[in-house]
Amino acid sequence: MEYQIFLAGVGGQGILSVTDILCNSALEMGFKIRGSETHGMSQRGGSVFSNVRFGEVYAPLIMERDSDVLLAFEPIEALRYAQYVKPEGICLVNTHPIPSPSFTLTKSSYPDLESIISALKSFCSDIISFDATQLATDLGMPIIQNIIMLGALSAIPGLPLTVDSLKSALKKQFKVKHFSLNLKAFETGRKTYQTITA
Amino acid sequence: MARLEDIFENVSGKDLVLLGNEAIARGIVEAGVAGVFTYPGTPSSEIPNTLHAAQPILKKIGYELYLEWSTNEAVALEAAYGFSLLGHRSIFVCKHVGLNVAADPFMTLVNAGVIGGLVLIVAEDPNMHSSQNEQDNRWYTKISNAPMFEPSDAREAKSMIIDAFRVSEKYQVPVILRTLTRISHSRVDVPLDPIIFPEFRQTIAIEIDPRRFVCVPSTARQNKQRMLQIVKDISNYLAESPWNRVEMGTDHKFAFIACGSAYIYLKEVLHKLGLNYPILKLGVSHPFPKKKVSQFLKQCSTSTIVVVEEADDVLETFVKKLAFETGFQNKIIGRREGITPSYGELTVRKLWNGFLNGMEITRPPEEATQKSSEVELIFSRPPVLCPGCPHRATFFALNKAVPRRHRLVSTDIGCYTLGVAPPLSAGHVCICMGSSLGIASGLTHSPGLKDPVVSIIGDSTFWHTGLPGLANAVYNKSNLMLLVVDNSATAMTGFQPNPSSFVSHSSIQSLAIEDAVRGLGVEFMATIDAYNPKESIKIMKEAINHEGVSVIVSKGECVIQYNRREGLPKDTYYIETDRCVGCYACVHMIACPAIMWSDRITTEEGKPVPVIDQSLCTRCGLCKEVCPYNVIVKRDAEEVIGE
Ligand SMILES: Cc1ncc(C[n+]2csc(CCOP(=O)(O)OP(=O)(O)O)c2C)c(N)n1
Repeated sequence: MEYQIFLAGVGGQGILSVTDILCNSALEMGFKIRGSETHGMSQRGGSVFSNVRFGEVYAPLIMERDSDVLLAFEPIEALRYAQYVKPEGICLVNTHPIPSPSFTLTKSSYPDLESIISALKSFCSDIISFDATQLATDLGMPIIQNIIMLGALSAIPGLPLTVDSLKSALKKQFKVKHFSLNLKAFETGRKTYQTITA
Repeated sequence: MARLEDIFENVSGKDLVLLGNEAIARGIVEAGVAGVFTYPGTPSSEIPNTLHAAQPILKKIGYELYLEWSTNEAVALEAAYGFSLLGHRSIFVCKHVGLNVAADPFMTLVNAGVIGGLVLIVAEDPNMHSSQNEQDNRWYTKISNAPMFEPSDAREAKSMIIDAFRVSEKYQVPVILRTLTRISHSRVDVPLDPIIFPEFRQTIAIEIDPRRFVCVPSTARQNKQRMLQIVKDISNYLAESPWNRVEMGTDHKFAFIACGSAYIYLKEVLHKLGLNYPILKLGVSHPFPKKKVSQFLKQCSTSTIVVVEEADDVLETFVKKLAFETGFQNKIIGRREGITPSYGELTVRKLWNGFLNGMEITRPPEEATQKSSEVELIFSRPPVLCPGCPHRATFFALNKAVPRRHRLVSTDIGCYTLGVAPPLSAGHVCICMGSSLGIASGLTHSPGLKDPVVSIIGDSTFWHTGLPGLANAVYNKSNLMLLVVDNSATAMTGFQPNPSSFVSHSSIQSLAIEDAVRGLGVEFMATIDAYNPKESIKIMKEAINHEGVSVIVSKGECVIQYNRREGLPKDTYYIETDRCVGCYACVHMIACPAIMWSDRITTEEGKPVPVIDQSLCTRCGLCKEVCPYNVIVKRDAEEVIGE
């Protein structure tokens, strides 16, 4: 067995935090884990990714067209890394756009969301998209959109990580006083996935 | 990333998921290292960062670790060497180009040898994710004779450290451990081994024999011979090492020789294809394991030998040489046949595609080519100077004081290199750390020079290799203006301390760049506040007209470091959009990421209006200085965000 999750987003969106949780959950379940992530020059605001692979795996990077899931925290970042998801895989997208400073100099504007989603469809047909940042804002903390996305991921059929192991990794990740809000975010994401796919 | 308490827990047997560099940091204390000497650089920085942060935890369990942020890699290696001369295990950590800086001491100390174990952890960056070049440091083993351990992943990296020390101490030579981005920045599940506490043998007098350690020609000749003998001895010792091992295969059409990081890509591709061939896996390829490789060639005399390695074709060169010497008759394929790429990083797909060249196998799933319409949607997100970065303010003033079209700017390596991008355009040339001053000096003495020459250097880089360049410029009477962009931080690599960086405890005395400049006899020296461009422009104009070397130290603390400690200022900046005439000075002169176009408001003539994104703004106020119509105003942040 091997299972692969490609995480994509913008620096500062909490990708590494979700990576931690996925890895600790996989560890608890006894999987061998290999992954790779961006550190260094891509500072705040740069495009960042992280790969999580578990099961019978050796290399730290996911091969193009091989990932079971593309977990994208931003729509254009989803498209940037779309070639990594399997045609029969699942693409989970937070539709909340984050523009780039380069727009200001060129006076262009953020691409239209519909076009992004339809472009994504040429890579994989199963696309679940929603505004996780809005849901997080409703919970009072826009930055926990990452945990909402994690919650949505937890509902994917066939994910070899159990909800219990994810929750216990979630607990490990956060201080006690932040845990309940994060748990709420997790449940919100999970329910959102279930509602969309119901 | 893992919690420090977990990484350095005094237990063994437990499994953790760690970042590669965290695993290496754990490996360092599992080897009882007493001293760590380093200058930061991606992808190596998290090794010393982790140990630095863990010092209090280590102290609590009785582990005394001396960790030094040296001013550059040459000094770091020399200091590590001095530490080892009294019998202690020491580690030197740097990025791949750091070994170039340290190459001079390195090339000679290898021959003189060590007393306490000395291991150099050198991190390469294939594909140059955060580097100015791509360089295969295995060549250093060939010119220096130093042995090298080449882990295939972070688990191996961690467990090789203690073995590297065993070799270092048994043969009294420094040993290199080669890591790279995809090992250092990987995640792996790793079992913890016991922590070994360093032994301080204070009572044993260790003799530092000048006949060995003072490298005058007579000594150096002996040392060279000593080293050649040691290479032979280590080869024999490592002949049975588990790091160089054969994995038997069921098919024999091909047989693989793989070293270091390439091994895991080979395993992955063979696994994906369901193939099973013999593999000679090399974890120590220098000294070249002649015996092992010739045995393998003999065993596989009917197979085509495939050499798999990342970066240059170092291993292949030596395998082919040996094959020639031993009369091996079959084919050996590798770089020329396109098995592995000659630049960039190795990946599963590249290796799989490489195999299509020499083997009959199924193709990898076709890569999805992005249609041009999709590519058009994807905009780039290059790294940029952060909102509020003091470098932006300094470069704005520079552009006002010394017009862009009439100047030559020799810049250096750090966050400020990002100022090369338009509209700041602060830089024509940048080669390596410290190069700004030497290059600027050379420019000033080139016949035909018409424009003024400006050199730019960061505070950490100033101490790293800026000082000799400045002394040279003063001594040789170069006519240049040096801008030291002093943000009190080594920002690019993640805020490691440097001699003049911000210190919170009074026990550490930081050094003043101004004192060093004065000490070198610079006649024109001024300190400016980066966030006060009006004053900066005035002083820069004076400095650029000064005949000889002028130095301006532009002070403004890195805004990330400042805001982490002090929090955001109470007042923010706000564009009174109804008064904005749409001149776009703020956009075109400073390109702050927090300033963007409003999608709702326009000027009376219907021109788009810029607005400040309060979630990105760090409240530095540079835009207020830039706006010629004073429509950017300071206001209470809560009020502005409330609206
Ligand atoms: C020889 C060498 N060592 C280390 C590095 C990695 N490196 C790149 S920039 C930098 C620090 C720059 O700090 P500073 O000059 O203070 O500029 P800042 O990033 O703070 O603006 C380092 C250590 C390198 N490129 N070359």
